[in-house]
Amino acid sequence: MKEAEVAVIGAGPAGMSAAIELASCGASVSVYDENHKIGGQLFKQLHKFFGSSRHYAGTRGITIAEELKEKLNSLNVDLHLGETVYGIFPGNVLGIHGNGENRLVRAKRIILATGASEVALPFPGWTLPGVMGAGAVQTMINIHHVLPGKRFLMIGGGNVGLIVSYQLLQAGAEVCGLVDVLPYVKGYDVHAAKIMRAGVPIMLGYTVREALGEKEVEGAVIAKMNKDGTFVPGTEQRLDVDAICIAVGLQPLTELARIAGCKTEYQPLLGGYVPKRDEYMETSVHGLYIAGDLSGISEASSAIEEGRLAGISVLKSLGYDVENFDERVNEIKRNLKLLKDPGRQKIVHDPTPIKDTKCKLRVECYECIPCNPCVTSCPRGAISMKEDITNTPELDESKCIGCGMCIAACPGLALFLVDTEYSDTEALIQFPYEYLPLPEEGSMVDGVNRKGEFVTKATVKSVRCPKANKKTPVLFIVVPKQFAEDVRGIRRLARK
Amino acid sequence: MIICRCEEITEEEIISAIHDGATTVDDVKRYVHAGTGLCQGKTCGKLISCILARELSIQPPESGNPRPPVRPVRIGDFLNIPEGDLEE
Repeated sequence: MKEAEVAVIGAGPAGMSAAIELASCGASVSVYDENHKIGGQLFKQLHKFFGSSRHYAGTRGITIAEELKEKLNSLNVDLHLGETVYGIFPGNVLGIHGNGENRLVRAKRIILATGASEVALPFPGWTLPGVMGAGAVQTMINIHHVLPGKRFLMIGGGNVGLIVSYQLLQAGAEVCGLVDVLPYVKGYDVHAAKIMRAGVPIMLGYTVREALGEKEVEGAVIAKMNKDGTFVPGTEQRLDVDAICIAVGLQPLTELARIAGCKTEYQPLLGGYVPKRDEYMETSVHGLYIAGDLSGISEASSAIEEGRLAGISVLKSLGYDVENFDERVNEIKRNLKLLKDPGRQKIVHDPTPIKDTKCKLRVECYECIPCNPCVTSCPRGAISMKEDITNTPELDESKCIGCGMCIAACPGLALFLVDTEYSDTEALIQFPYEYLPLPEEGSMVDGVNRKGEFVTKATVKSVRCPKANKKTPVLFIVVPKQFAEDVRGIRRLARK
Repeated sequence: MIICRCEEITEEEIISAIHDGATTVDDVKRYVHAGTGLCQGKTCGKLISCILARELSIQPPESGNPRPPVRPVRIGDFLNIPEGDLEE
């Protein structure tokens, strides 16, 4: 039987990060993934990530995937794509199938980074073609460039629902509504603000009642839901949609861990049953480690940190000399605490009233989320955060020179420059705009407010997208002065 | 309403299984065959667990009892495991 020193199962952000740590230290690593490409879900993530600028904040998921892939390829890693680990047998023996072979491999250490799968939502008509999971939608639009519908209903106001809604708009679809049974938006406020500016109605307390159609989705009925799960009579609304996207959560893919004998525990905040693990990511089975969504649903930045932690813990357990082990473990744990503390309450401050000020910057970031590219992008140090990156940014108006460097840096697209002194009657507004086609300079466009409602006609003064913007164009539009604090975007232009 | 898409098992059938005494996802699987199809309960397992929790007022039970292979592997392919691998 073939022997591997360390086998990593899953080549997403967690598995790749673990393999990089291991191979960098000279361990012999075999990585298995049933997909034919590495990167897991990262290649579908076209938006800029939150987090700390010292790591990957402000970088798009797809770029992070490319960077990890390049690093992995530069190291001596035994990579097996298109090979499925279908079982784990006593003695840390893996059953591997794929590429015309079926074989067993014994590994001294195993890191399971199998990720998560989508949770379904049953409702009358949910088996009709046109009802699909958010992950499937992302795969179709962002990987295969296929638009699976023209008019979508999105179910779920978590970050996945909000982000996929945004990506659907970018791909050229309409999102006719986003419903969530919760009375508040569960995902990040800035993600919700982005799609609201694009005119997507967010209906809280509502959910889908049924999908209409004989052979495929031809419409949807939504209704308000009571706490006991019954619908409020008279609140039904029919939406003219041809696709329904379900984004109601993810569940860890625990099968392999359970087959291997890992004890699990019920952690509703982490997505259900997750394998028990110690602080070094080792499960109840000796030599078997976990990382990423399998150890609790979170986002890719956390998966990367957990992969690193599992990687160096395995190195240590195999007797490798890991430089500054304790220090590194503590640093990773600090990062993880910032990125995912399931006990953290959702704190959204009220919008700051706009004062009569000479300062042009408008910081519309009111929720405590782990993110700081605005701070690091400012050449004058005008933006700061108390204590750590989970605080909201604070602006020192005396230091801000209105250069606009922060606008494209903000992953939440929550910063705007408003020059009320542009002319006697007009104001100039700068904002990020990530839709195609871009408006032409000098053209007239519809200026919209924070809810996507028409406010005024506006003239496009310029469209800028230097390399430093990392593909976030910034639009400069001129509006009548009285609308300076209302207009925060433009209506998307029709595709040719 | 269908819950198990592979085997076309409805919510009513699952509820009646629970009323007949099923208390785990595996019980439901044995009784009405929900989760015995191609996907092996990957989609409906969690849904059945939620129905059990709702009907019995319990914490959602862990779904199923996973066994290898966790992905479909043709039976013939098991014959291709190198003999040396099996001897040890």
